[in-house]
Amino acid sequence: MTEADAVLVGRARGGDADAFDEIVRRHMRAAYAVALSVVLEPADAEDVVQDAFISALERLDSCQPDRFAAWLMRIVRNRAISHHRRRRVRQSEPLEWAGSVTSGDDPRADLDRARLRERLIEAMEPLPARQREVLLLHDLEGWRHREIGEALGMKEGTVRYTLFQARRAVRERLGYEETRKEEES
Amino acid sequence: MKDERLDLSPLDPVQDELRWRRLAARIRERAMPELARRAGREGVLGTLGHWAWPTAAAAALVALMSGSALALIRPPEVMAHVVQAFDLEAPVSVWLLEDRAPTTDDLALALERDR
Repeated sequence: MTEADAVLVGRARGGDADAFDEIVRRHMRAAYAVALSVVLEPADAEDVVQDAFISALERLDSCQPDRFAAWLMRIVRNRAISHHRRRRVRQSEPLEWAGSVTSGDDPRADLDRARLRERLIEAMEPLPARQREVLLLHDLEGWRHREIGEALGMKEGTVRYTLFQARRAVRERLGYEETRKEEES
Repeated sequence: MKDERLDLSPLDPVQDELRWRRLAARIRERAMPELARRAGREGVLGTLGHWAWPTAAAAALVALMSGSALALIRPPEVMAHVVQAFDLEAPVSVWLLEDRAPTTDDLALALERDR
């Protein structure tokens, strides 16, 4: 049986490294999804996730243990927004993620995946951050509408509608990209 | 309008498992000083906590035993020593040996005797 977040938070407050590891393992993907929805670059999202977990650990005493996930996601979002602002100031920096996020086993597959990743991110870019967040938490991370609503402070119906809008926008944009490419070739 | 789940697997960070594990390891490494600080703080408080209860219990036991012992030995021995040491005369010595407060009559009698 897995320990509840509240129990792990209690143990981590006392400096239990195993409990903190379990918290990281359990929430890292969702944290990444939230970070990516803001910064739209995998390497930046990883930096944000790192900083957010350390910040969360330092402020763990101020967290309500049974609302840990929502609290952590707020920290991730705020960190991501700050990171994104700084990033926009330094726009001349190259985007290193497309080439760097590779498994190394199959360069061709890695390249294909990098292209797909780039297309998806381009398709999500015009969406409001909240739509991207809902989309990533649901379709990438597998969270339920209720869980997303609790974490983001939204009603379940609003989450469903936001998700519907986000999917439609991404599909339209991907379809538009396909048509454009066909016309170009 | 169809509303099926989008395939966002190319964005899944765990596809690059090694990179993902490294990220977790970096978080763990950066967390170590804070975890150590918390463990240390817990250690000091825990130690104090562990000492505090037995010490308080022992102190309470000693106080209880001392009180009981004093209560048992006070009338015949301690009070006799007190009367002797301070060279107290009657009626004060009587009041102490009888372990009672003086009544109004005792005080009136004592004053009468001093005159």
